[in-house]
Amino acid sequence: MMKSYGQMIREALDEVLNNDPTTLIIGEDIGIYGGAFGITKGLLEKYGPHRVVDSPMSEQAIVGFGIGAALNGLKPIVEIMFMDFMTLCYDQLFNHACIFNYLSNGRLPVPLVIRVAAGAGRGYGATHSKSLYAPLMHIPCIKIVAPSSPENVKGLLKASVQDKNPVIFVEHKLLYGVKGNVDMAQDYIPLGKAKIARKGDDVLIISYSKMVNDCLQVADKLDKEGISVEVIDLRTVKPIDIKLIKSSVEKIGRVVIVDEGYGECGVASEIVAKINEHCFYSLDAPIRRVCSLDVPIPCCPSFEKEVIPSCEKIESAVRGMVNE
Amino acid sequence: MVPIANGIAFANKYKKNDNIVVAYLGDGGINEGYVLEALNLAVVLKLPILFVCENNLYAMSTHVDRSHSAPIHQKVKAFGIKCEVIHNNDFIKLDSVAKRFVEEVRLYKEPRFIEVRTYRHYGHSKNDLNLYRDKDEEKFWFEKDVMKIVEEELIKSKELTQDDVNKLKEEYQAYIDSIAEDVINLPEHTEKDVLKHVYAE
Repeated sequence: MMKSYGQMIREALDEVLNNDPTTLIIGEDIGIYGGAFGITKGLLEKYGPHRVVDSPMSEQAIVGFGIGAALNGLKPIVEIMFMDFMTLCYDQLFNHACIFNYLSNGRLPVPLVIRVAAGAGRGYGATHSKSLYAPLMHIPCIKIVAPSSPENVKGLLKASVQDKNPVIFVEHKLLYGVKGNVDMAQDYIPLGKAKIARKGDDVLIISYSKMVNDCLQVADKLDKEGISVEVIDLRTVKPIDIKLIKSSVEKIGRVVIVDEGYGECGVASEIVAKINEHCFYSLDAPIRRVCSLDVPIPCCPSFEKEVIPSCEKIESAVRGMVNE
Repeated sequence: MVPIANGIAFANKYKKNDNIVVAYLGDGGINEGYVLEALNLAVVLKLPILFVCENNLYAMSTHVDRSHSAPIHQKVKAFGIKCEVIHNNDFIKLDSVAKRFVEEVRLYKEPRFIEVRTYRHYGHSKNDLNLYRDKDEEKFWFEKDVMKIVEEELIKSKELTQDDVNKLKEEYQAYIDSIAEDVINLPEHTEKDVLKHVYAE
């Protein structure tokens, strides 16, 4: 059966609300309006205002609220409308959410999920388009999940809700309408495990979220020319599955990392560092990165396209790698 | 931590367990954006929480008169939260207000707020020489030291004798000492445990 990424998120939320009375969702415009992207439509009517809570525009207060509710036996799912607005809740994340379990010697876990929409490509402009994974990766003791498809988004969300740690669940706004065959979709996908989305021999691309789809398109195209590309879908950005990355790097030796975030101190930089630490001598050529340019994300379509990674840029990086 | 206290209060209401949260904050903290967000949210979601602001006049070195656009209780009332002010460490009034508010929070499932005007007798930290406030002010508040006025009041009202007070003080000092000793005698952490509990399993 074909279903969209957005539908699968809604199904996951519906199932966890239905099966676990300790779960609730809170966020701006998630109830009556049904969510900025329509993901939570119908859930208020089905579960009532005490479990589908429309909040004021107070990102810090609702993330803190989620931490408190999690400390007191509930499993809150907080929605932050755009990843750009995560900047408003850094204090709650850096100074609070991540400290309780460790500092209490494991007595105070914080089973909190924060759902948030990231990504550019729709002309939403500088304050509604960013992929700010990197600053969040700097927080210890949390997990960051980045589903790439209708097949994995539900299983990853259900696993995130089941997890006892703060999990930032990053959805890509360009994927919401993307449909896929979900007959083989797993109900739970363990966090911290990457997946080989396509096997290949000549070049390895490591990516996550929506960019995985672009990488797969490029791989298809190059395959016809006899260039065999392997694609790893990280699925979880923190903790990174270095074991799987290492085994592919050792096999292939040529690596391109595709990351929609900024290049400076980014997810890709971290992967480069980890490859250096774990399997540097398996590399046949320097690692290449395809990241967003270090500028605010423009509204103007031609500029926006130039700023974020594209199939063309990925293709050119892979071709450059083959010729090296 | 104020937003977190809200979440704990919400969970109590959600579980219908009749518990309430008492959240303590300071005069400095009231100027943090997240505290203002949290006060608003506590009203909007009707949370069973009692906020107690210990207004000791100074946020580190900054006096409330130099940092607040209006008195704290006025700001709180603007959020629609019922608020009482306790002046000069008046612990008898504080006791009765606190009891009433605890009952109201539990009954009506909505926030209450107490602004306690009190004082920080010593510096903000051990490096703080208190150069930003005058000695008369410090003296005035030392006279109103809660420990001192509670003791005087209890003896005056014949609830306790001076001997009782002395005995209680000795008992509590011994109790505190014993806890300190227990903690000091706990085994040291070993380095091998430093990466324990990074993630909850």
